[in-house]
Amino acid sequence: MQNEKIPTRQLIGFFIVSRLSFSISNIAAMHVPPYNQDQWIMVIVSAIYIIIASIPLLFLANRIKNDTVKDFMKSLYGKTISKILGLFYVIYFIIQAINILTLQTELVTTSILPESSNALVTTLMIIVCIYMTSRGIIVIFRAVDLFVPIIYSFLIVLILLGVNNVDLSLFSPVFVDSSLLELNKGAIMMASMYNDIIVIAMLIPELENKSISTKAFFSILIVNIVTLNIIIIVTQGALGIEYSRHSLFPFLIYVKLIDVANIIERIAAIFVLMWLIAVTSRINITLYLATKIFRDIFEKEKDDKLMLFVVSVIVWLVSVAITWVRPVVGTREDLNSYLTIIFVIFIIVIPTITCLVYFFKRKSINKSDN
Amino acid sequence: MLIKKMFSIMILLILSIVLTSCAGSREISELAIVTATGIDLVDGKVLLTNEVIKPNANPTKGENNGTSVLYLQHEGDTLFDAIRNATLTFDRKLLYSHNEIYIFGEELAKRGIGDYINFFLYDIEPRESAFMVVAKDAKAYEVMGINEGLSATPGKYLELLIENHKYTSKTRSLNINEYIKYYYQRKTPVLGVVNREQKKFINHIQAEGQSDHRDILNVEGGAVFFEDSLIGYYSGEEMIGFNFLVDEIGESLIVFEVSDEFTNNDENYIATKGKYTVLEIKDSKTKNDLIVEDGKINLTVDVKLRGVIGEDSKGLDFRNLNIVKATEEACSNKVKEYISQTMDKAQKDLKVDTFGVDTIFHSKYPEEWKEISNDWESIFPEISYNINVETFIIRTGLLDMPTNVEKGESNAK
Repeated sequence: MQNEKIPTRQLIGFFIVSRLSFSISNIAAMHVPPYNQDQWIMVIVSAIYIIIASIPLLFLANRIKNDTVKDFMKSLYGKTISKILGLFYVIYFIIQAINILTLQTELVTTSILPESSNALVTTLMIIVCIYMTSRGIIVIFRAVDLFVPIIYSFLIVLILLGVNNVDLSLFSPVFVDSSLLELNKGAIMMASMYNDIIVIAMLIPELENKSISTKAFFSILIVNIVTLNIIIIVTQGALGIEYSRHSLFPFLIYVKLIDVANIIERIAAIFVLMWLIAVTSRINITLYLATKIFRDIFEKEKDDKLMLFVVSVIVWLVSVAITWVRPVVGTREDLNSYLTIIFVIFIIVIPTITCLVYFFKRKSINKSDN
Repeated sequence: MLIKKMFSIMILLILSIVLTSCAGSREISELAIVTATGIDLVDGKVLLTNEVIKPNANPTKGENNGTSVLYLQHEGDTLFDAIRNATLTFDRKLLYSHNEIYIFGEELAKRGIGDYINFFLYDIEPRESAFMVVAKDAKAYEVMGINEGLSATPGKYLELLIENHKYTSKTRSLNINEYIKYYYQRKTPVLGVVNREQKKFINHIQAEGQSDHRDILNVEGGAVFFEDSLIGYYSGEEMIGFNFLVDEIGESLIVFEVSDEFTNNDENYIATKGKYTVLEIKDSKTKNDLIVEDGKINLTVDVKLRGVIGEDSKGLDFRNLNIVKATEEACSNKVKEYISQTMDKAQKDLKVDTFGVDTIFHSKYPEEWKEISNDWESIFPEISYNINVETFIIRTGLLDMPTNVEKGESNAK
């Protein structure tokens, strides 16, 4: 297993599953402009901004090739600066892990375990994630072969069972009530939530092909956009445009409304199970990357468990502390603006600067490689 | 190695205990399952009447004389407050997961229910698919506790009455989610209603001093809301027109009269000649369209329905295609009458658009809509309309001529 690498199939499957954890939870796409029946158009437009925002990291990702990220950064910035940058990225992934874990805790305690304490749910989840992450990146990605068919079968079945509640007339008129400015504003906000590219870039040394092909990147993007749009359309069609925005977990309500001939009903647990699988993948990868960079900074062994423990404890403690004192889903406006700033810094600014540095230093780097 | 194994076994044991879901469990013996809820406003406080299943009662109706349920009344400043106050005098915590009916007293409905229905959406326990009805001319608790059907509980009796709406279309079933959806979309949801009525006992040995009448529930009609307040009612017939207009007509009946010129010769009648023919709707589709000409709005309602002849007391000879055509036309005219009646009520009496005509306008004339959307309630009563109905009789049942006519040679006029 030591020499095993991640095939492109698993890479695509992983990002389809992990992105679904956001698409079916609080559906952030419903909380950005134009706030009406044209959200699905905004989601399509957001693809353009996601591509633009991903260009610097895509470019860099395909330059790392045989280096590790650490070696690549070291050759560009020197030892000290690359370590400082590495530390920033550890913080970035820890913030992402906390964001997902707190979201997960709130959904579980709101939907199926209302009597359970937030701390208990957070603790159990982090234990599961520590175990899975400790088994290594290959195991995390290999599980995808099992998860993709399960999750997508569940999703398709749930959508079909509830489709009789969907009123498509709500989506009319199309592109009349929203301006181009609003659509673009919403699309940019949406794109700022799409941080998959940074995870892909960090995983390049682990990939079978040592690069992310345009085809793989677009496959992930297209499947994610189409899936998100289907979820938005059925949810808005069943709940109405306004109520979908009021609800913290609109797709959960969509599933709660399923009632086929008084036989198939009350199947919200299936939704939660599906969501748990998806979100666990997301937490695992953020924990893994934070740990990996941490190990690189402190020059620890590849299978050192202490760093994973340190990162996980930080994530766990902060998540428990947050969910102990405040709701996280309903009060996300401030958090989202912080996350947007973080996105701009870590996915656009730093990679763009790195691209420029690479451009100026590429001759000396290539020389030393030879 | 041994320590690692021991540690793994310990983790497995701990997880097997924790993952049994017993933490914070709620045992059935500590819960009271609510099957119907009445909501009233009394002296500014919420009065909640809950129908709760008695766990030890035999659910077979008759054996326990309808005592399979209890009725609890509690007050509070809000719904949740009233629900929790129940635990001050009742020994179990109320469970709303199985509640399928919320009844609003008329007084509360007139005052507005928007601030109270929040509870159903905040909490995970109540179901969004539970029905909402208004107790016509009554407090909610006055229409509870009546079970003149075969259901095990009065709540189930009322729930099934509401679900029966598809057989007559003289009422409507609207659940919490649909209410919210219609509310945000049109601001004029139409809910089902429930009336308490008295009927004479049949096959009942009357005890001394006991009334010879019994109470039943009737769900005919619809409660019209503007924003979140009750402003009036549709009658049963008006609800048929309403259901045609919003394209929610079920497998209901159209009872109509065919002109005498299409009936048999009088000498062929061997029994009493009746007045009505009945069509059972099998399939119906309504398309509404708007057109603005010279600043005037005209609504066109196109209805296409297919049905089977379920009853004919007039003695029509359905072997004759002209009579079939005439019957179809008579049925179409009756449907037009239903729709006109409802339109007139909405435009002249209620003065609110309960059919979503505004959404058609918004969809077709989005730019103009921005200018008039705030004045729609004053524009709607002025719009003209024309109704086109096409009826297709697809079967005549097991007869081609009713039994009150003797089948001779061609008898049709």
